Amino acid sequence: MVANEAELRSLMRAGLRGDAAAYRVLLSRLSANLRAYYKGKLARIGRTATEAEDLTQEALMAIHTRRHTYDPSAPLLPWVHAIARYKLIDHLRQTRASMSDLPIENAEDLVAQDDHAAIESAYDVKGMLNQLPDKMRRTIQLTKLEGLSVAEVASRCNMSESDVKVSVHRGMKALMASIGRKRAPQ
Amino acid sequence: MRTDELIELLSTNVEPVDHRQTARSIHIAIAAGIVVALGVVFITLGPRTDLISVGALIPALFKIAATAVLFIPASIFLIRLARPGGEYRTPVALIALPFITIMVLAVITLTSAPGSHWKETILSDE
Repeated sequence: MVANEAELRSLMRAGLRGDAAAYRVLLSRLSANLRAYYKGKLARIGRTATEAEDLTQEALMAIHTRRHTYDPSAPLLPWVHAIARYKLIDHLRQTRASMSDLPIENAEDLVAQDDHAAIESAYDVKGMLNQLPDKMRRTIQLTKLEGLSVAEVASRCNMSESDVKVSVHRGMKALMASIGRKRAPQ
Repeated sequence: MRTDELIELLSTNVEPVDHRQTARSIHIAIAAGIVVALGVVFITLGPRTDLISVGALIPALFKIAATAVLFIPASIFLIRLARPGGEYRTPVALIALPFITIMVLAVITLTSAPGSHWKETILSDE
C-alpha cells in the first residue's frame, strides 16, 4: 500500500511537470483502481458496470482538470479519493440514491483492488467535442487527438501559445460540464 | 468512448501545471480583503490618533490579537479545504485555538485589574 502511494505520487509529480508518459501510466493505474472502487460501490445498490465506467471517466477528467489543486508535498491517495467520492455522491444524488446506502470508507479503499476490464462508457466524448465552440474544439482536436504541440497548433490556428493553452483548458472544462448535463435527470 | 481512449486524450500534450495557483489565489484574496477592510475603517472611522497612549493602545492590541486568532486559523482551513482531500490534512484541534487564546487573553485582562474592577471589566463596553 505504501509503495503504491509512493509510486503513484511520483508519477503524479512527473505529470505535473509535463511528463506525458508518466501521466499516462498514472491515469491508467488510477482508472483500474477507480473502476474497481465504483463497481464495488454501485454493485451494492444494484447499479450496472456501465455506470461504474461512466464514473471512472468522470473522475479521470476531474483529476485532469483539477490537477493544479494537488499539493505535491501531500499524499496523493486522499486527494484522488476525495475526487472519486465527490463524483460518487453527485452521481447518487442525481440518480435518487443516497450515500447512506453505502458504507463509510477511507482513502486506502481506493487502491484495495483494481479492475482492468474496461467496457465502453455511455459517454460519447467525441460527439460532445463537436458541440463545443469552434476554437475550443479545434485546439483540443489538434493537441489531444492529433498530438500536435502547442506551438504547432498556435502557428496553424494563428493564435498565441497561451491562447491555445487557455482554449484547451476551457474546452476540457466545457466537456466536463457537458458530461454533467448528460447525466442529470431530464 | 473507452477509458483507454480518454486516457490517451488527457495525457497527450500534457502541460506543466503550477500547483501553487490555488494557494496564491487565496493569498491574493486575503490580502485584498485586508486592504479593503482597512480602507473602509480608515474612511468611515478615520485614524485612531488616541493610540499613542498606552491606555488606548493595549485594548486595541488585544482586539487585534483576538481578531488574528480567528483570522489565521480560518485562513489555514480555507487554503487546505480549497484542495480535494484537504479535510484529511486539517487538524481539528486547530478549531480550539481561537477559544483557548480568547480565554487566555480574558484571564490576562482580568488578572491585570484588581478584583473589585472585574465586574466592570467584563460588563463594560469601554
